[in-house]
Amino acid sequence: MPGMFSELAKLDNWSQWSIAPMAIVFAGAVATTLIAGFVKDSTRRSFIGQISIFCLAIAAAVNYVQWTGGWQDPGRLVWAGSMTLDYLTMLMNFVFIGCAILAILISLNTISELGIEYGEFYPLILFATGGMMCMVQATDLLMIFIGLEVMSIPLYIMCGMRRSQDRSAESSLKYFILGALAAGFLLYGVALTYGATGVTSLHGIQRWTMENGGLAANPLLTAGLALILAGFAFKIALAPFHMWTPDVYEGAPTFVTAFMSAAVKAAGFVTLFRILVTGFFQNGYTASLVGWGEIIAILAVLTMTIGNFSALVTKNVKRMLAWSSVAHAGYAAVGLAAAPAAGADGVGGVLFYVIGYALTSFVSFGVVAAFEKQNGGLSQVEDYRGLGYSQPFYAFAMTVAMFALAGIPPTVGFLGKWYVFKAAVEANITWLAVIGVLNSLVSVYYYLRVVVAMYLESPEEQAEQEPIKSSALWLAVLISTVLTIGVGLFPKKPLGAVEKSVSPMFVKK
Amino acid sequence: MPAQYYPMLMIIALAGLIAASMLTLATLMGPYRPSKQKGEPFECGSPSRGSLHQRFSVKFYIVAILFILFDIEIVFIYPWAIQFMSLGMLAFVEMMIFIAVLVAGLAYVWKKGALEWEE
Amino acid sequence: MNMTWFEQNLASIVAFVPLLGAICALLIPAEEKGVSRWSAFFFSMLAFVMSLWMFAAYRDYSSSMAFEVRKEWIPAFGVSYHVGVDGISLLLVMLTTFLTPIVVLSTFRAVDEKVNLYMFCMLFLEACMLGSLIALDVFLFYVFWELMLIPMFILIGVFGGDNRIYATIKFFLFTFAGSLLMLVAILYAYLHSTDPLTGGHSTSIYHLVNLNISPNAQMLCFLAFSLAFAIKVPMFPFHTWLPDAHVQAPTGGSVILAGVLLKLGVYGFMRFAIPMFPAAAMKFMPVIAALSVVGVIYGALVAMVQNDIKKLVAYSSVSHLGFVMLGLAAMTVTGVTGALYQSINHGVSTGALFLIVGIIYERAHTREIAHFGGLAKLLPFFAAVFLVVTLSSIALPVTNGFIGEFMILIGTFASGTLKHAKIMTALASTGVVLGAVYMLWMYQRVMLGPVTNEENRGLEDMNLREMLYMAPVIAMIFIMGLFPEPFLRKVEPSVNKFVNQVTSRAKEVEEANARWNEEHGVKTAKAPEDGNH
Repeated sequence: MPGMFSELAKLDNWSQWSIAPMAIVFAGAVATTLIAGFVKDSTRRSFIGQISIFCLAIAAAVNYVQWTGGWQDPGRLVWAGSMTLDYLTMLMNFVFIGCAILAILISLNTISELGIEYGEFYPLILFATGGMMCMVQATDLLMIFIGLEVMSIPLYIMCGMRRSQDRSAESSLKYFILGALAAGFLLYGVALTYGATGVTSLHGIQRWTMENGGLAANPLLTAGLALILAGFAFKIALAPFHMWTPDVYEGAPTFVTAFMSAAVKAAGFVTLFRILVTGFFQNGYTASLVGWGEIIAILAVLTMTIGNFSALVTKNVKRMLAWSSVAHAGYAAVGLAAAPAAGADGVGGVLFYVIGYALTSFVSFGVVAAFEKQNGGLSQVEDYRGLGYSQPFYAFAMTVAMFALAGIPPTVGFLGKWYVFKAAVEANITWLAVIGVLNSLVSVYYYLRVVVAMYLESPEEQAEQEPIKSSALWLAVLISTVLTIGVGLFPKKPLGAVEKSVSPMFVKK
Repeated sequence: MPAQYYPMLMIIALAGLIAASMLTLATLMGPYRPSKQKGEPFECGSPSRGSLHQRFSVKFYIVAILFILFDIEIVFIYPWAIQFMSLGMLAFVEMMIFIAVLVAGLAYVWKKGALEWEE
Repeated sequence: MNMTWFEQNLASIVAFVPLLGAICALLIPAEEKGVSRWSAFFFSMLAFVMSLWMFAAYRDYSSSMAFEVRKEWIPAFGVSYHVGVDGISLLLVMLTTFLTPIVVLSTFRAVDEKVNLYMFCMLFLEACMLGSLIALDVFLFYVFWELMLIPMFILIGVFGGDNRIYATIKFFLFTFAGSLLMLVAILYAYLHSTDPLTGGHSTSIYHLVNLNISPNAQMLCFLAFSLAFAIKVPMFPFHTWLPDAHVQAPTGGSVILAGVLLKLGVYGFMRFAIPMFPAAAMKFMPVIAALSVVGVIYGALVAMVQNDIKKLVAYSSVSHLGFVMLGLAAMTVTGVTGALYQSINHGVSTGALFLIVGIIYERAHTREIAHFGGLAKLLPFFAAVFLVVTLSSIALPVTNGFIGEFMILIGTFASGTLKHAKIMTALASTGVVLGAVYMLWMYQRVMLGPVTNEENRGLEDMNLREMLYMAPVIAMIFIMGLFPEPFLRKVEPSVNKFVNQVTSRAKEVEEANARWNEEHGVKTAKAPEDGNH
């Protein structure tokens, strides 16, 4: 690629402006790293968190300016064709920034309760956020890989931040080793794709496949796609690449778990469908012997079923939510499986689903975080007995989350299911929608169990059910609960944004 | 398409062949006279003692990691330096940002005490 | 806010008044029990007054949708906030708003803990039921339909008997299971609908009655809808959750469950399942009718051998709802009107029966029939009220039940579309006799004869509050039994329209299906299934 450098030199101002939100987040990350290095006083640690929120807010503001017209010609390629700024990127930037802010709010006071004495948590979460932003903004496989790594490495560290806990160390190590393996798969897939087509940019791959007779004509490219798919299936925990999820989610500090299940999953799904739709779609799908739609449909069935049945027999609330997170990846994948036939509706379903799930996850894990302590705290479903009367606010939030996860209207969870199942029916894979709803039936049982414990049962002996005193945590749970119901009731604007984001991907040029 | 990979395949085959033939020839033709001294880990005269599996101070790892981290950056800086004139102002600014980030990292590492050998 | 606006939105107002009350109930602190009770009573009465207004404003002999409002809600999915009331839903709305204040009043003493939660559930439940009754958009209907589970789940689970958790989970899972497949069917129907205004898909019932889908899909969709509604009704093989739920539920929960919730299944058939898939519906009518007849007889026989009064009443519901479904399956104007009328009757009289069971349970703390005997001598007022309600339940002339069951039987007998209609009518008639047997036998064992249990001597008769809330129920039993005309003239035109539309549309669809089968090379469809189940 000798032309790369000279092309870089010819960059216009648009390139810099296009990555402004991401650059702000990274700048904040570097700055907070320095502060974390120089501030030793543990009482001033939450100050770093506040600075981080401030940086994220600025990034959100810039992103808002871009969304409302500060960026002409959405979808144009910048940075020598390796990045783009379309509505999808901007929408996801909002999501990632929102997730980071919520995770920080949850962490502000709970972090010391868990015995984590490092201010470095905040720069790490900023780095991870920046990595996600890079990942969804990239239109080049190498750039995507860089984004993925920048996202993952801070997460490996954050998982292991409760150093005194064996589970936390296990979580970190497991995630790291398997994550590295998955990254290897992904990179190998990228290499094979490059070997086959001679390019790494998604548009280049698409052009190549259109000119050279599609995916099936080239086994090397098919193998590359399969490996890329496997790499991402790991990140978003699609069965059979899901084995790490319960251990990692359970062992990590809860605010990290919330961030992972919300933001990482969203980032993985969005990047995956960008790769599939932009790089491997038009000719690629019709010409290949086995379309990726079918493969993902099978993965979706496996994921939903394994996730739900495993959650059914799990008694630890956090672990149960981790399994349910696997199941929800399966529901979202239903939309992806429908994408080849249903087009923007399928991908829109995925997008709406993961955003909705992100909100719900912050409610559920936020409540878990409120009762997670260094010694003791609430962990099993039985520990939640009578919470509805001792802690009405958190119990109510948890109930909303449970019903939203079960897909009961009028929550965002129901709309998400409606959207993806609609796409499945539209794509003529009604059987997948039927399996999906049957899975919901299984899932409703274990979600109900939490509600039953909180409201219908009373503890044998009055257990200690004091939440961690933290107005930031309270605020985070409140915001996400209100949004979970609010978006469910008035989804017009969010749905409009989703549609605006995904429809350009399917415009035939 | 596979035709263009044939030279590659030949090189791999050749490499395997050479390696295999050298090993085989050495085993077949070389003299084989084992003795106790030769069986020792080090043939320097003095008998070896202690366990083979020794713990190293974690500081070695940190130094090694930091070395790799800062050393690798040369890979980026070197081509830029060679093409400096043709790349112009934009690349200069970018490289300065890159170096600033490195410096920030160095400052952090320094302040955290990772560069101190003694506590 | 002028009068026209008010009247135009009356349907929404009726539904949202209880919601407002529910929110108020949440805001009232738990210690303020009296405030909770009276505010709940106030809001439920307000809703009742509003619905009376609606009843008066609904034109006699009109078959059109009234108080119709359609506002954009989720344009991306073609969903709108579309509500309205016609003759079919009007009386059910009235029934809901009529029963709720009575239930609220009846629990003033029975519920003494977590009063605000109880009142919240009650009002929220009322709002959801009203919402699903007025919804003309299947999405909106589904939202209320599902949401309804939550307050009922809490009512049974928190305020119920000893085995309440098992019962409430069973209730929740059964009903949820049914509605999930309906969701897929809704999606399928939605994706094959067209809104002529926008050209896109729509979930409004107006656009869903003109579906153009393959005969197979019609069958499957109708079955999916039917499963949801049949579980709710509950029809014969899907009824097992009902006795459990009833026995464990608190009195108020039982009244609402039997009084209104079950009717929503019937209503769902009439509003959605049958009009959307008329040809499939006509094909399955014999099956539905056969299951209904089985339900009538089976429910009555099982009721006969119960030891627990409440369980007896619960099984009598299975039997009575069988009648209702039979009338519906007949697809004659008389039969369907009777079914609707009988739904209301059942709501009133079975609701009253559960109230009576509640009254006796509050005093004796048991519902075993064997525990009682000769109560009539001790509790004369109670005995009188109980007798009236019992007679209403067995459909004695001059009570409401007579009109309903009579219309159903005539309507079914005269049905031209239902196979073996006469045999089914004859079989169902035995249910009337059996009903008289188990109810009167129960009444005899509990109320008549000598006082068998000395413990019962201390029981008090009904107090003023209890008489107060039983009085309107007794009044309704006679009003509906003696003067059905004011009610029927609001109902009949809509039912007439419903029956005509369904039968004519079924013919059209049948022809279209035949064409479809020809085009797709399917051999002529097998003869419609007989009710040989």
